[in-house]
Amino acid sequence: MIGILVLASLLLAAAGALARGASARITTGVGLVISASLAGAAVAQPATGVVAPWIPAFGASFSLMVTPLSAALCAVVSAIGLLAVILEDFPADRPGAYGALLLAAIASVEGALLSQDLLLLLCCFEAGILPAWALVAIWGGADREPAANRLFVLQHVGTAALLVAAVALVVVHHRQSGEWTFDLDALRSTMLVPSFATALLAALVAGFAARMPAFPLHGWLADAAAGLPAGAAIVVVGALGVAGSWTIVRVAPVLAAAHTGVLLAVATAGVFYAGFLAFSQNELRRVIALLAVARGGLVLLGGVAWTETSVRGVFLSLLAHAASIAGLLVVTAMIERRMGTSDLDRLGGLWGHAPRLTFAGIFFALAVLGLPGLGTFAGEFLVLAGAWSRAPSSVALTSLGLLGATLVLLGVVHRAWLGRPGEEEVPDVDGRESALLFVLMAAVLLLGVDPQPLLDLVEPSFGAWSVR
Amino acid sequence: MPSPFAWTPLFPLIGALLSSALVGRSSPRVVTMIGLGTSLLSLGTVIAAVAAWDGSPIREDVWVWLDVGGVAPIVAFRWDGLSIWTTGIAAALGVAVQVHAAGSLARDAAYARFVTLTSLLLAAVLVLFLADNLLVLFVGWEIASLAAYLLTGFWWQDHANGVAARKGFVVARLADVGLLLAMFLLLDRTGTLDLGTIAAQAPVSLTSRTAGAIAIGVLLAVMGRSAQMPLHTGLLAAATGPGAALQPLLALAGPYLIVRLYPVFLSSPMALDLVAAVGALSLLMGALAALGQTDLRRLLAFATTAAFGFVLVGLGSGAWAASIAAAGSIAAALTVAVVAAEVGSAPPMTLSERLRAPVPVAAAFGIAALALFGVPPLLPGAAGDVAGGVAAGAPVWLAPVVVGAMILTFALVRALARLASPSEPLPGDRTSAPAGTVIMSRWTPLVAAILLLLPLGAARVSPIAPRLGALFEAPFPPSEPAPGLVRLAFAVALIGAAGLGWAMFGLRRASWAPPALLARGFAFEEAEDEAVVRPALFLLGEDRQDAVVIAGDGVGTAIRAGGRLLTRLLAGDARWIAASAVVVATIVVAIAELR
Repeated sequence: MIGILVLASLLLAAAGALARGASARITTGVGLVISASLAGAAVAQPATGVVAPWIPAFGASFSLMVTPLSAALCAVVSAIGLLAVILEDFPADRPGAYGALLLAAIASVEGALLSQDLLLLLCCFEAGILPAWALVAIWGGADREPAANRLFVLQHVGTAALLVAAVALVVVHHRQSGEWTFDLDALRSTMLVPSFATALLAALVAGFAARMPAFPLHGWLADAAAGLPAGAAIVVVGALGVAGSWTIVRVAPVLAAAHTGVLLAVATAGVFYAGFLAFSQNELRRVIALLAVARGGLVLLGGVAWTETSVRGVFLSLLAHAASIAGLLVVTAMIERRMGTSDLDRLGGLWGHAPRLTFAGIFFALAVLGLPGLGTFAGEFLVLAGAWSRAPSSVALTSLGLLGATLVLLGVVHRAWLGRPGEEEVPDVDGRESALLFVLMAAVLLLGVDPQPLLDLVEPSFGAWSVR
Repeated sequence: MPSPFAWTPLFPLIGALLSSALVGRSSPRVVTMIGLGTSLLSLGTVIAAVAAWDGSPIREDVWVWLDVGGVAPIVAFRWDGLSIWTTGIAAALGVAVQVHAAGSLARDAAYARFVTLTSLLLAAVLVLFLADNLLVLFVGWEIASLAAYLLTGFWWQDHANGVAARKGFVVARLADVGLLLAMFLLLDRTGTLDLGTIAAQAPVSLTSRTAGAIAIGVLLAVMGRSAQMPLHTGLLAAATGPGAALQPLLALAGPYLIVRLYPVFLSSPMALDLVAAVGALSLLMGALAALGQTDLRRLLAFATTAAFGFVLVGLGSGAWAASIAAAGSIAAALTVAVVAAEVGSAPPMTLSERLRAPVPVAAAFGIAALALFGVPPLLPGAAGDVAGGVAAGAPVWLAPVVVGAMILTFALVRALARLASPSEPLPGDRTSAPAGTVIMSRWTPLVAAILLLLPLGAARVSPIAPRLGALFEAPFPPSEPAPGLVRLAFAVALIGAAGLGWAMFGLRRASWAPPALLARGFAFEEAEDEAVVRPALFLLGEDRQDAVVIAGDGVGTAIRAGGRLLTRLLAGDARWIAASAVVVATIVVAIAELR
């Protein structure tokens, strides 16, 4: 029931935003606040679900399940959406459509998180492509056309691969058990031979990699992030990938028999490649987007290796990383508002003018690079420690690859905030902006210092899964 | 209600939070009260906890950080001989640095920021020394790196400081990957990161190969932390920052970690040899490089490398109790020396000029230089026990240890001779600074030297070793008692080196200049720039395009071109259709014929 309410609040608000136009920002905000608080309240509740028949012949149903896990992820996704509202940068051109598309994109992510039925989940994925594409195509800056096309093609190809894999899985399950079902829990009992499982895993991972995005299907993200208004960029980089990342963890146990060597190698290569590319970028938003891609490699590693520890690490990592990436993008947006650019070559010496903004920027940079004590490190450590028993060499290389983020972000700190202050006065953050940054910093810090209560809260939903 | 010692790191942490609230406001008195007050509280807690201690190790669980699928790093603190020794030194040095800061920086607008970072570093180091879990220790380890990074780049207006800070942090994090991998391996093989359990289980559950791999990972991190060659460039970069006085304390964490994991090192035959080899290399090269320096701060950075190399040789020879005892007094001596150098040399002092430090400053530097290895008869310290342990455990390293210690002592006495040389004070020498500030900071190093170094330098293993023995539940080989003859020979060698140095530069003012290679510190930094930094920057490039995106766009273009071609073939005029039909038919026939 809660699941329906969460989605309904988003979709109704989308309709409202479209209709109201001028006050679209308020309507969007109300929808997000309602969905975030509903999902947040559901974190402490036992799992509940609603099922309605859809296509009985294939065993597909409208099955939404709110577990503490999915509720926590939905709450974070809605909260990140809320940042786009708080930042006050709705475009003057068709604000209603902008708000509605943002909400639709967020609703598709949360729908995928809540879906218990594989076909419904894929439909949510597919439905999410359109609003994201439209956002980039309309408000995506100078290079919007190729960026939007890339997004559409990559995500579409990914979803097609997912569909093929899902149907194959359902058919095999039917042969074994005689029943048609798309229910994720039921499908987990399917027995697969290694070669088939490997093929399926590759197809599924390709689909998710396009969504997260992770190397090598990440091509759409950096352009989209660079061109969109800051709020939409935060949603696209911080929130859209959550469903893809999390679904890997949900379906990977089915494929326990698969050979994971190549996929782990791709995940590790992605961490290196994205870090490598991020280093030479001049635009802060592109740097951040590429670091998100690098983090996608880590999530892939934890999901594919699938141990008790690594999947909990992925969960924690998703939350903490979403918050810290969003925080860094919020800081970027504040810089852009003051300087008119996020080009690192044209920044520098901001410390002199805006020490509080600098503090927040350095804090989030440290969070993204995984400083021990902050939430990102706790997640990262659990992923790596959990994956070690399955793939020690991948873990060793990834640990080294994650150093890339250190190099990149220290470079950013150096180029943006240190050095001789410029002539022009740059105002520091005001009270409202400070409050926003403070809340985000507190979240990242809390996840790092005391993550266990949250993990205890969601533990029952993990318990339902079989452990390889 | 946790035991009192568990509160030790909390005070500096509170100090950091409080003083961070004062950043940007001008209230030096309040900041001094916060910084100095919290570090004194921390020291007082250590003293109270030592007084209340019954001699058996205490473990205090503070809170459950994570507990996930067998990975359960619990924030637990351990109170035993080893942690008492290192926390005590950390707390005392923390007080000394805060006093020094109050004297030298209180007039600066950035004073509150300095106290914040210093307190943060102190809290992190205390967590590191107290943690009973390797992951918690790692958190302290990394936060300390962060604080050191921010201290090195403290004067952010100058880009060069930012570059130096970044270099230090990157070297530290690179080294720390070794520790991270060692943790994964330990977790996999022993199922825990609990230090007490690891120490008890290591001899049983680790094969010598695994133990060797873990030891190498740990050693890598220790090399980064204790500025061992070739990972000492980070310390050189930090030596010019305002946090230089805290670097010796950071370096103490390296030997500490080795002793904490000593059973792991003992489980692998080659691990201890490797530790000793790294230490010997750093001792000899560091001491020689120190001899070539004219900048007092760089000299002390190389001295740190060399002195902790000395400690590592001792650890590698099995003389662990003497080595950790010596490491403590070495850290204290180097801290006092750095403080003296900073007080006596603003603007930064080069030894080639005729400069004279105020007498108390020179005296403090002298005490520190002699206390480093415990030059008798003044301070017969634990370093002699280390030399004795090396002679008993691994005699092959005895020659490097003695020679290295002699060279370093010679280099330090040479610097001392310059500081104490009777010449006119330079115009503008410290006269512009407010009077109260100067007097306070001028006497700081001497007071610190007398309070800290005389007792510490005189410390021998005997008062600590029995306490250290109760450290591990597992049987643990006791440190070899030092043969008296080796101690004596070591003492004579040091007196000789110090005497020669004083005779050459203090009495006769010899104008001997060391070879240029020593002055450049064996050109490690140039080599690093040329062989690592420049190629890496070249490889990383500027504004690189995403090759994957380009390839993807290429595929897109190819598909579009194919589509156009197909359209033209199939929807064009009759001649094209006929031609393509002929081609297809030919191919079909050809294939059929060939089969």
